Amino acid sequence: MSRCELVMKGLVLDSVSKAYDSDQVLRDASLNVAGGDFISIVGPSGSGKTTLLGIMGGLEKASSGRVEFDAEDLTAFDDRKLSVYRNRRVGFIHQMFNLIPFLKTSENVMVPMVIAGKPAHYVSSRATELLEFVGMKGKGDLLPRQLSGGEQQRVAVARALSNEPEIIFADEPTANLDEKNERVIVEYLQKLVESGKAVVLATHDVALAQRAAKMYAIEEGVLNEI
Amino acid sequence: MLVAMVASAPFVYYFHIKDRETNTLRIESTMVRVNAYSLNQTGVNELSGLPGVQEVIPAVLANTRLSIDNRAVYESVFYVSSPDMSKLAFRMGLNEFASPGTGSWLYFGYLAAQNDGIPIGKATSVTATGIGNAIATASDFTNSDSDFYVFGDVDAYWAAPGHSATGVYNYAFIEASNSSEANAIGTAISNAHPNWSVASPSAMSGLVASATGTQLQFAVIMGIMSWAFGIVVFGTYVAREVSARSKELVTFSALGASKRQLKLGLASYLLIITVLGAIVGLVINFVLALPEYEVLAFGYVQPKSLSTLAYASALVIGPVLLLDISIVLLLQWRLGRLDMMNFLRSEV
Repeated sequence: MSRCELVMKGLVLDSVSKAYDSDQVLRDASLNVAGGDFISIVGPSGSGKTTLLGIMGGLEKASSGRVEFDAEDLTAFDDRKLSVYRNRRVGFIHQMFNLIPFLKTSENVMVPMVIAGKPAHYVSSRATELLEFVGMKGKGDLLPRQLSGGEQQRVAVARALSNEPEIIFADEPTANLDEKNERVIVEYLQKLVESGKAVVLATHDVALAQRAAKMYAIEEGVLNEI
Repeated sequence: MLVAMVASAPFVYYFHIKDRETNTLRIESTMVRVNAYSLNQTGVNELSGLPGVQEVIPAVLANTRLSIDNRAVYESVFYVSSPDMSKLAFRMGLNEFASPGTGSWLYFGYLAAQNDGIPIGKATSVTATGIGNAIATASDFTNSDSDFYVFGDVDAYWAAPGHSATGVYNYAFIEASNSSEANAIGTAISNAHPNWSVASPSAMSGLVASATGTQLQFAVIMGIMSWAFGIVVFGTYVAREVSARSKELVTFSALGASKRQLKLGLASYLLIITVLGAIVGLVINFVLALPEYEVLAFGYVQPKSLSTLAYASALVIGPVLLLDISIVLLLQWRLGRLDMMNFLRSEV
């Protein structure tokens, strides 16, 4: 077996804890995420789901424990490397969509690619392609406020995919959507998994969590596989 | 704009007073000028009796709103009696003299004429409320002298409603036969009347420099105030805007923008806003300063000083840029302390 094959691909969390002053929000959480995984983390509000996603997505630093991506220590990354990780290796879908209000739909999708410094012609054609993928063809010139909640979330999905990340983190992605749009978003997530990407879904909705192949429960910062 | 006017009023008042205290222009080698504030016939007689005095020409010096070819222009006008007017002669340049004579009472050096838009050598309609109409010709003093002399008839001035009491002057031109006599006259008046402002030949250069300094100080203060208002107004706007846009900044960061990229973006944004703000501020100040001059009837701060404003403003661009950098660093510091995930989940 070569040395390369020994290297663990994907994301590894080993005994990760996080505390804000005296408030312990995550306790010894361990989790592996590899390509093609569909993992859900279910728990009530305030249980530590968002913190866990933040640590995995490079938005927060763990207080203790090991976080590795493709065998590289994420906790040792400086701002530049961490930014590159957030920009190219992972994608985020948020409950509140978080589209930039003064940018058009297509421009919102372009943002991560522009940050990555990709050429303009590629950025433009890729944005068109992604908007088509999420069923938003012809709506690239609209501003976020001109879109419904479901449409905004579809744009957020397209944006998360723009730099072809290996892992998608979805934090309560359907909490603000009706049943029909919830179904659409879940279908996209499943399509991504089928294409070999990993999806980590945080939700308080058990029924939604059950759509994932692997399910974890989190309560008072303690993570357990179900 | 109202706030800017009110806030600048103390400065304007200060310079207005200071300007009055140094209210003297060029003096010819044999002439002493006295700014007496209150000078009646007894005072004129007293001056006439001083050793070496050839002639005393009393005058009322008053800022007057003139209508020159239907344009409003504020000028300091010397109101003297018609017989006295023909006795006056002023050096406008090295070898050029102006003499009011009879019926002609508007003398502008080349630059002064340019500043006030006075056509040189053409008959110009000049009107002043309570003074009447006149046709005057601005003489062609082609050297770079910027002095100006406008004369009016003192009897017409006194007759106008709301003007000072008849027979009370506030200015005197005193002719001596030579410069040493002129200096001696100046000293004698200063000793007898410490509250009178006397411009003797020896004191003249200092007073001219002081008047010029006053103008420069005024321009600098106005320039700094332009920037100060720009900073306060646009700084407040930017601070509020950035606070409101924190979520977008966090979103950019979550999408992979590095701190360096965010800093550059913020710096560019602030720079554009500041420069635009400064330009708008300057335009507003320009527009604002013109009526302010008229309202407060400024003496020797001429419209040309307004152009100095732009240069003065340029001097403070360095501190403004430093302020921009400070704001960027402050925002960066603030951004580093936000709970990004919870911020991304929030509705604001």
